[in-house]
Amino acid sequence: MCGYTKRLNDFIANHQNAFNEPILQKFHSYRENVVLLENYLENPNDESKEQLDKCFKEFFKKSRLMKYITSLIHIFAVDFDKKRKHHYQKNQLIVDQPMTNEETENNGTLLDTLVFDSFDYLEEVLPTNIEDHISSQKMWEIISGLPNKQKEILSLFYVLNFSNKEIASLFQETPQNISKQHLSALKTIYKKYVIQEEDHNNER
Amino acid sequence: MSDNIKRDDKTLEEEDVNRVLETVKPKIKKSLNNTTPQDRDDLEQELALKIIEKKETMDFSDVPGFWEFINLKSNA
Repeated sequence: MCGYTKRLNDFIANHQNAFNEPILQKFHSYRENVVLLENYLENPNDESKEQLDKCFKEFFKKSRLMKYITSLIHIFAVDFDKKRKHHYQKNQLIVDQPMTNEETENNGTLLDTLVFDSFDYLEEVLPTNIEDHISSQKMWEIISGLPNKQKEILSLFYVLNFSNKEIASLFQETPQNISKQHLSALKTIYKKYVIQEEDHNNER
Repeated sequence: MSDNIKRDDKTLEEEDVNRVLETVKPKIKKSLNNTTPQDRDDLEQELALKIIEKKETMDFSDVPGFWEFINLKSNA
């Protein structure tokens, strides 16, 4: 407590109980607050008294507010998560939940109302035939000229993203054979494409 | 004239709220870990709303002044 005036030290000693309180200790740890108290003790008048009083009040207010808010944040966050979890548990995204609505008397599930068997959306938006995806006239001619089986393999491979294994099980062949056919189709396309290009260049 | 004073009060209060929100921002950010990533933005907003609401309704009438506090504690 060096640097404090004797008056200040006496004052603190006289009010030891109060200065043992954490809030006052914290208040006292700021230099400007100590100066205020010193000012008052040096020349006690209403103005300096009032100033110190006001300052302490603000400090007390602020620390109470902060304490309240920090605990509020913690409790609210925990509570919020609890509520959300409860909500998700009660409202799960289940597609095959039973339809118990009076309007729909069939005892199907929600899935039944979402899917239309009669209409193949995939076929509508995404033709499975590879020829329908080629925009270049030249490429289209080449692919159209391929054997049917190779065309089918290309379609399954590139349009529907099937693997060799899956295609093989469709044709009841080995995956190696499918891979071979696939590569030979690509080779044919490449050859024809390059030859046509060269012919085209020679004509020029 | 009184209109002006009112408006000043309001901006002062807004500044106050903003300062409080800015001060507790790290605490808010930390508390976001309490919930799932998709709910974090929601929680952040709810917290801000809650703080503003609570700050307005908090009662400070029984906050003691310096001398009041000293006397209270010295006599205890």
